[in-house]
Amino acid sequence: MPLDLITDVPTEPPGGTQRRQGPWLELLRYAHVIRYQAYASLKAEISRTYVGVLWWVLEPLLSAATMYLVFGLILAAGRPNFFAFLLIGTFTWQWFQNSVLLAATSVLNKAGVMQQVYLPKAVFPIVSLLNGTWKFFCTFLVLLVLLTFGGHGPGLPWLALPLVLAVQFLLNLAVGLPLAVWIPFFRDGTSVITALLGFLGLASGIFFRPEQVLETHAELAPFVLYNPMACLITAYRAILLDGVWPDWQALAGVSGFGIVLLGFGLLLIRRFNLTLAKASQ
Amino acid sequence: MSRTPIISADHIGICYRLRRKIAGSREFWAVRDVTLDIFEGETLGVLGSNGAGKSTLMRALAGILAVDRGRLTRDPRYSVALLSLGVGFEANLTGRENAILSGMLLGLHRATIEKRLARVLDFSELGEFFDQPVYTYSSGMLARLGFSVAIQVDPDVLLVDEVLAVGDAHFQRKSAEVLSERIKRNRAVVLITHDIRSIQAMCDRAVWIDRGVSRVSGSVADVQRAYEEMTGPGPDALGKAVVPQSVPAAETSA
Repeated sequence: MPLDLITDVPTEPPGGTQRRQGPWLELLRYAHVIRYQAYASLKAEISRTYVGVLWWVLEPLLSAATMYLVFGLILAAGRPNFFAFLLIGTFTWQWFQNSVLLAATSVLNKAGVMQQVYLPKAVFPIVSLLNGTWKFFCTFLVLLVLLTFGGHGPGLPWLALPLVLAVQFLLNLAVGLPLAVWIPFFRDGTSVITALLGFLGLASGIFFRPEQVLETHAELAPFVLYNPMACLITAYRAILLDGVWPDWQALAGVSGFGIVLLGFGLLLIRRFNLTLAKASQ
Repeated sequence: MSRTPIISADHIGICYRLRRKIAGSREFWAVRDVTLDIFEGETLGVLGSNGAGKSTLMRALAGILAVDRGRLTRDPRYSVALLSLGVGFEANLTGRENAILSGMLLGLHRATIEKRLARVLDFSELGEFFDQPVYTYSSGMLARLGFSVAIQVDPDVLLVDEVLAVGDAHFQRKSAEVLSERIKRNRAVVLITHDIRSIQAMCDRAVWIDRGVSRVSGSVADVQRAYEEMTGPGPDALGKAVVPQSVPAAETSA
């Protein structure tokens, strides 16, 4: 056997009384695994269907068409720009919802791999989030094109979009990570999450402006005011619909919340790093 | 041989918490009380029948599972890994992509595994199938690819769980050769099996695990004697009754 086989250094599995590394440092060493896993799972998904990547554009187009039919024509809400208003809310909310659901089951779904090799468990939710994010970017492009055709073309505030998207990615990850630790211990949790997301989706103002709720139903204020997704959807609408810069203070607030929650999630997943393989069996 | 063990298990126990009650208990101790040491330069055989807790023990030694009681210490200067076939294989990806994916999960850097793809292709004898999705593979071909990737990883301490031979007769011979060469060369090897003959052939020392408890530990002859006293059948009779976990030899040479 050639000598280079012997000099090779596999990524040593920690465990037992092995040396501890900070969660960030360890994840950094696994960045190449995350990248290739994300690529591989996307490629596997594309090759499962006939038109592959085309679905990522077709799906949002179809759902936009459905919404146009129901809310633009049949119910004809009578509010100007309601269709564009609805599209922005729905598409960005769906990114959050799909990310959280995918991340929540990501560790449990990789039970087989976990029995064979050591990996820091945060790898699984991150891979699933990246996977969902590429698809969302296609959806978002479709949204931008539709908005441009609808008369809401690009403006200077569009420059803030990458930041708002980054904050939402942070939020998606921060919410998904602790759930990924929870689900292997309580599998019925997915139903709970789905129900909660349904409620939160309504409270995030997909169908209405948060201010409208505050006027008529003050008791619901906490769900709207302290709802990070409501803040983000408002920011998207400010940029894309009203052509103004988003509320920076609200964005900073959501980022702060995301960072704290992410720190908690990383500690949690670290704490249960070696227990999750057992719980997921 | 150094007298400080690389891995030392001191009365370790590993418990699964069951979601549904079995016989009134919500806990199942797959490993109850195991004590063993692994030293540099030796091949340790872990003998036990099905359900003795061998695989659970091995995952704890590999650092995949946490122990619930006792003490498991490992020298951090040594890398420890399990010989695992087909980790993370995706049916829709090609053999080449799966080799990279699996190699990276096994701990190789992407650049390293890409450099060794030629070796994987050569050893697996997959030919042009290497660039086909693996759902087109027969089970023998899949096992050949899995084995060819797995042996690219070369940890200081290699844990082998009954993956003694895969594929058709020709490939079985070839893989067994590589494996025994690897066992001779690695700094330490733990071979886990229910076949006393494999232990006789390859190990310096052995431990017998019975229902999660390490009963006897010592020379291969001592362990064999104790094992036969308890279980009855001699090594030959036992050997005929059990076959190493392998893919049936139905697959013909590619």
